[in-house]
Amino acid sequence: MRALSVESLVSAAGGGDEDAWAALVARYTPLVWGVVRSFQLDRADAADINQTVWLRLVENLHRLREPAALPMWIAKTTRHECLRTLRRDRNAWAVDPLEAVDTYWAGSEPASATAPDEELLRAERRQALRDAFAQLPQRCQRLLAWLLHEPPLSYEEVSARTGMPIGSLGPTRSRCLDRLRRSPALTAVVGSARRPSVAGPAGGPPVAGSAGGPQSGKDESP
Amino acid sequence: MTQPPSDNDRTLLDDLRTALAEAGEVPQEFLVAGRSAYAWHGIDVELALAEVVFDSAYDAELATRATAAGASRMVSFQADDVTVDIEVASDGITGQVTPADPCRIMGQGAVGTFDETTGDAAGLFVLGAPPSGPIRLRVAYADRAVTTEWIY
Repeated sequence: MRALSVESLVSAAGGGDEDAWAALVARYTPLVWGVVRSFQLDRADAADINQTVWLRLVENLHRLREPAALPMWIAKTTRHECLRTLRRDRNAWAVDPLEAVDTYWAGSEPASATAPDEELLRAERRQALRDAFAQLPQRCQRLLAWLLHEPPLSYEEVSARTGMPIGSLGPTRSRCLDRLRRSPALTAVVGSARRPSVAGPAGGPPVAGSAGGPQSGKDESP
Repeated sequence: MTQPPSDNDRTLLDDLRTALAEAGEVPQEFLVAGRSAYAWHGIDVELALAEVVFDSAYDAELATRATAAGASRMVSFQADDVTVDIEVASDGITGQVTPADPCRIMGQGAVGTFDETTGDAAGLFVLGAPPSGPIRLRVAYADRAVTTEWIY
């Protein structure tokens, strides 16, 4: 089943539909997470920020003038709270000069205290990719999911699991990726045109795996 | 034979992998907390919001002072004509509302009300220990009510 639009979910959740709210939480908590983790806060602070973002959204559901812009609202609210928390921690350091000095020399002052908007744009684009993916026909979702499987599967295995003939995997992959690329969910995101990569935050874990798809060697051998 | 993806497709697949992996990394507690926030849906949505106008946790100079006096946190909220000043310690919240007219004060956490009381003749009140996580106060006078912003 394809995903419901954010507008319809916001409207339903605003009208008392708890399932719609749960769907919003499931869809956008990865966005909150994606922004929070770029700030390298401790887990308890991150959890408080996440909870506050959702409490604020509950309060503001009926006030959102542009429900389609909800992802941006969530990203910005999250970032705002992260910056507040960093500021609070800095103030706490100021209370204890020795600790502040130690921290300074330990070089552990959060590098992302002025996390650039670029990081926010990347997080928003990753969300847009997830949204666009959820809008794809199920056939495409399944194929792409198997192609991204870790560890990578051979084309034979992908063919067996999707029920698609091997010869159609490549063309179908291209068509599905084209649909993804042209999805309004993705093209609407600011910066998507000039920011082709969505690599994770600098402080985050490196992304495992390399280029998408099965090991091509298996397939290219005669 | 299936051709390997083009460079463009490869980049997009890699980006998609990163994006989908991020969704898989979300701590379960984040999802639970997000869903539970709906408990507050529809409650007091039309009330005036008292915003934070001072918070010792975020004001360096005064934070120093507050910490020197003890480990509690001072926060002031302001709505149109209502001021709420609180001192939050781990064992409870003391505060004062202005105006000091008869009112009911509720301490609310992420999942529900943790304590409620009435203001005395001077608007002073005491609430029990707040839960961890975000909290807010609701102040109800006979003819109007305000809720504060969430603080944590």
